[in-house]
Amino acid sequence: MESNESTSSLHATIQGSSSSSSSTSDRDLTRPARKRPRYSSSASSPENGGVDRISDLPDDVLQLILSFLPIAQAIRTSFLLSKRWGSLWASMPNLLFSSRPSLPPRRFASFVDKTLSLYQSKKVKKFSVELQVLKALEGQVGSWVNFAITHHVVELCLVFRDVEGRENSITACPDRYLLPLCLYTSSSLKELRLRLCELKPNGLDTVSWASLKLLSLAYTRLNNDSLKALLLGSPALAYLRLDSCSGFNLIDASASTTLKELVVDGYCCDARVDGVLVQIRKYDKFTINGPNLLRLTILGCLRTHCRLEDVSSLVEAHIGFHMQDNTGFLILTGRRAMLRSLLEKLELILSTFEKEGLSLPSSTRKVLTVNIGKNKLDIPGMASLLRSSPHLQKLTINMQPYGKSLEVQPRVAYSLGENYWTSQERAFKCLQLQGVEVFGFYARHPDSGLILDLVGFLLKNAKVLEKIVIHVRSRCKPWGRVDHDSQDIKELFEITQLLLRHPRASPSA
Amino acid sequence: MSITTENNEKMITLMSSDGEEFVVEEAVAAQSQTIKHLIEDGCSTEGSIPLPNVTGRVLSEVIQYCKKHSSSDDKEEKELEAWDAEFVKAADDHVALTDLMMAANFLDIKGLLDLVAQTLANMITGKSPEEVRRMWNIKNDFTPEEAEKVRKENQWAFE
Repeated sequence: MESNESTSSLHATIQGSSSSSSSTSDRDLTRPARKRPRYSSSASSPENGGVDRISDLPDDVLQLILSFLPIAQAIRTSFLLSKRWGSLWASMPNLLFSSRPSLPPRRFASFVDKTLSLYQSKKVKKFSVELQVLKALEGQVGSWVNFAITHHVVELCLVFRDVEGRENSITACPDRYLLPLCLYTSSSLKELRLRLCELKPNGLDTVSWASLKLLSLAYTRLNNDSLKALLLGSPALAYLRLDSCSGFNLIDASASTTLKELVVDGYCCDARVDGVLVQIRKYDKFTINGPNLLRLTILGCLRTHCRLEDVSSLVEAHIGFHMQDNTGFLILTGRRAMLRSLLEKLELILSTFEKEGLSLPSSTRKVLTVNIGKNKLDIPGMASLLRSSPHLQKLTINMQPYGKSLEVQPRVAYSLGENYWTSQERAFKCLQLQGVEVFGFYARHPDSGLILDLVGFLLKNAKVLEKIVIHVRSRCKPWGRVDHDSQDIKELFEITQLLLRHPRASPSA
Repeated sequence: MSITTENNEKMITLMSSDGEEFVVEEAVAAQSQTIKHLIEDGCSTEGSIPLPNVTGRVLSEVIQYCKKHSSSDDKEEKELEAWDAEFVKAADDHVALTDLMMAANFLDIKGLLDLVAQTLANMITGKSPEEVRRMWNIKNDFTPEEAEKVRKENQWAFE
């Protein structure tokens, strides 16, 4: 291998990779000049006769360096560098394996097996395997999980790609890897990330993850009982993320006092009954119950209604989900109902503040981001939000469609009647709103008129309003920026005029 | 010795191996687990804390890092990452990085250890052992026969 290469070609490689400025060939045999004399180190010159100080570093520091290399290179480098480095790899703190498309899965698996069989340390900090789902390797993967657990792993990551290897093309029913039971008992595990797996502990009290703080599952199947068992068995869990997971319809975190953040990004309703894939009835609800949650994010495609049972501690909510088909009236109703229920909860928090005579400290802003994107702007919901937020200081409206598609299908306009906002005026006397930001605004958006009505209304009623910023999206200039009283972009001229004509409640707006 | 500034920040004095003194806020210095334990053990009350393994030049770099990372709780992660990248770039070469690594290890500053280890690893990613030896002045103490034996015995790692 590399020891056979000639000396001069090695020099050339070093030269080329560490200095791009040297142009003459007669410098080939010297190292590039140091950029600055500032660091004249005790270790004399970096010429070939220089002192090897790296090898003086303690073992664990050298192992740390090795563990930042791709693992195959780390092992080869360790073997061949010098005798000092020879067995260092076998105690590296992190073992991160990732299969390459060019490497046959079986070769990859035997490489992992061999590495683990020669590993010397009693503990591994981070253990990660990324590979394609392959039925034939299940037994081996199970032994790797067992290795990680028995080596007191702190961070465990098992990512299976589907057969095509593409991240986002999950076929209708891909194979999922059923995790071995040994996984469910670990006192060292703090972070667990899984993709395309199936979690099925043997009973409610069979999970024991005393230290687990972060659980992130993607395209993973688990039923309600399994999810309940995981939550019961993780007394320190603070963050739970479920990306396009399936098999359950209830996230009940009411027993957990530590879980502060829940992210649901997509949800599949499929489930297996006696080995046959069935679609759960479309309008069955998907319920979240988390009275202690502080932050909630719901994104992606849900394909079903989402009901919030109790989320009364929320301080931050990010709602940006969409339905697979948003033609059905029931689905839209479900979405509004969910939004309203969320807004009621926020109202609850704010009224508590009122009762105790507290105003929100400016440092703890209450932020609600609403991505309307492909979905209908929910005007009654928005009104309810504003009504219930007497202390709201910043309102952000995001009109960009979630995801990559920028297409907006024409829809029947949401007709509320011209006087909708006028009728709401009486309820909004004490608005403390100071800033409004609208992202991704463009005039052809079917909801743009509604947004303008809202902005006009806010201008009229918000007494301390200081700034409205509308980030504009147009064809020639993707991200223009227009203040409500400047007129940079021609096609917005009329809109701006309209806004300027609105009476204002705040002298500084 | 502990002095208190106007903002009631407790200050401590660190002394490098070559006798240079650095007065820093205790919160900054305590990012080093080693210094933190020394303070807890009461070593900072009389005179300065001697750090016999760290030269003044390296110590000033380390303090720069600690200052940035102690005042950055509310800062954007990206900004901090960019700062880190500039910081290790300023260290210039593997010799300077090794000095930093030694100090980070002795002072037990986890973030700095990871940062420098990552930087050193990046320097050699994709390089052959021979290239790494040249870069880091590591002496090849294998005879050709020995090297061949290592390869043969560990064929699995070289496929």
